[in-house]
Amino acid sequence: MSKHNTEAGLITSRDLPKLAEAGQVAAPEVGHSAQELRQAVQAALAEQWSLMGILDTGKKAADLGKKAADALTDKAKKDEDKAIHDEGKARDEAHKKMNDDKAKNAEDRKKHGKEAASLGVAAGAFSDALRDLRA
Amino acid sequence: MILLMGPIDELVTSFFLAHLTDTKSEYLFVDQRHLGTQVRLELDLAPGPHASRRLRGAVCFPTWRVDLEDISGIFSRLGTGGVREHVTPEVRAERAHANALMDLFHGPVANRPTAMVSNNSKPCQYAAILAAGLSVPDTLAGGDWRLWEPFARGLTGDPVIKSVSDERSLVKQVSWDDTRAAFLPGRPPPPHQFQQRISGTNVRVHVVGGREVFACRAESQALDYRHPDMTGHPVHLRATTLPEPVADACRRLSCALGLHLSGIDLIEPPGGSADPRDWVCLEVNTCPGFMWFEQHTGLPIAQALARSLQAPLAS
Repeated sequence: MSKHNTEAGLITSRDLPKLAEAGQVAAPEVGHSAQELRQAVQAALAEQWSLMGILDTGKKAADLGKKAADALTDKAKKDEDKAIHDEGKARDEAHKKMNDDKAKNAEDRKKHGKEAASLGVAAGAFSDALRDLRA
Repeated sequence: MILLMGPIDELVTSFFLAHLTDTKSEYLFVDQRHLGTQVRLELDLAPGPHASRRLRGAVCFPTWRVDLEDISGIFSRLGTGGVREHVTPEVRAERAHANALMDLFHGPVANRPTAMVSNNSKPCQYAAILAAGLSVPDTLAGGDWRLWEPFARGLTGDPVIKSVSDERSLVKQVSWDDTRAAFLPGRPPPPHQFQQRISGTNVRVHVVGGREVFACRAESQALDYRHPDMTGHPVHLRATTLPEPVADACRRLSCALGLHLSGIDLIEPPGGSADPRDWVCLEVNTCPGFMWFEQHTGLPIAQALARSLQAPLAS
C-alpha cells in the first residue's frame, strides 16, 4: 500500500490485492446484547483497519483491537478456550490418523515391493525358461 | 436503530460501521457469516384486506433479539466482499428470508433486492434513464455478430465494448477487426454491448433517499476511470455541483428504479450544459462503493445515508 495514500486514509485499486492478502477478519461475536455486539464490532473494525494500515500505526490499532477483544464477556473467552481445546484435540487426532495412515502405507508399500520383487523373480525365471526352450 | 448486514471485512461495510461507531449511532450489525448460523430472522406478514399489512418480526440471536419495530432502516452489503463460506441449505434459506425482509420492510432500505434487479440488464436500465430525461449512448447489445459489423462501422471511431449485465468488466475500446479476430470460427461469441464512445468528463453521482445528490468529477485520460492503475492513467476525483435540472433527473431516475442509494455514471458534455438531455448516462450502480468517492472528495455520503436510514418511521 503506498505510504502517501495510507497516510491520507485513502485506498486505491492498487491496494486491493494487498488487502485481500492481509486476510479476512472473523465475524464479531454476537454476545448477549446489542451493546456487547457493538463492542465486538469495534474490536473487529480495529483489527480490520490495522490490517489495512490506515488508522494510526498497525501496532497501535492492533493493541486497541486486543484491548477491546479482552473486554468481551467471560463466556466468549470460555468459548474461545473450548474452541482452541477442540481444535487442538482435532489436530492431534488428525496427526494420529496421518501417522497411522503413513505407517499403513509404508507397510503396504513394503508388502507390495515384496510382491513385485517376487513377481519380478518369477517373470525373470519365466523368460529364462523361454530362452532355454528357444535355444 | 439501523440494521446493517454484510461481511465486516468488506470495505464499504466496515467504512459505514466505522461512521456509525464514530457518530455514536444506534445500530444492529449482522455479519453475513452469522446469517443462518447464529442469526435468524423471524418474519410475520398477514396480507389481506382486513389484516395489518405491516411486516412484524425480529432479528434473533442465540440469547437475545431485536424487534423489527425498533429498526428504522436497513443497509445491506450481503453478497459483497468475496467471503469464503460454507453455504448450507439453512444459510441459503436464511438469505432468502433476508431478501424477503428487505423487500417487505416498511422503512427505507438501501437497497431492496427487487430494486437491484435492473442492474442485471443494462438495456433495461436505459429505458428508465431515457424516461428520467437523460440520454444514453448509441448501443447494440446481443450475440448476433452479423449485426455488430454494420453497427461498429457506423460509429465515429472504434466502438467501446463492455458487459451487458452486472458482471464487472474493464471497459475497452477496440477496433472491429480486432474484435472479429478474437472470436473463433464456428463458435458464437458471448453477448456484449457495443457503444459509441462519448466525449466529455466522467461524473459520478450518488443519490441518497431520492433527495440528496452528491456529485464528483473523475478526471482521467483512462477510458474506464474505475481502474486507473490497470490503464496507467491517474484519476483525480473532486466534488462538483450539478445543474439543478440534471440533479432532478438523477433524483427521478433513482426513484424510478426504487433505489434508496444509487451510483449514477454520467458524462458531462464538453463545455457543460444545464439540459439533462445533453448528459449521457452510462449506467446506474445499484450497490455503489461510495467509500472511494467519499474518501477522495470529502462528500458526506455515509452521513447522509445514516441520517436517511435513521429517519423516524411514519406509523
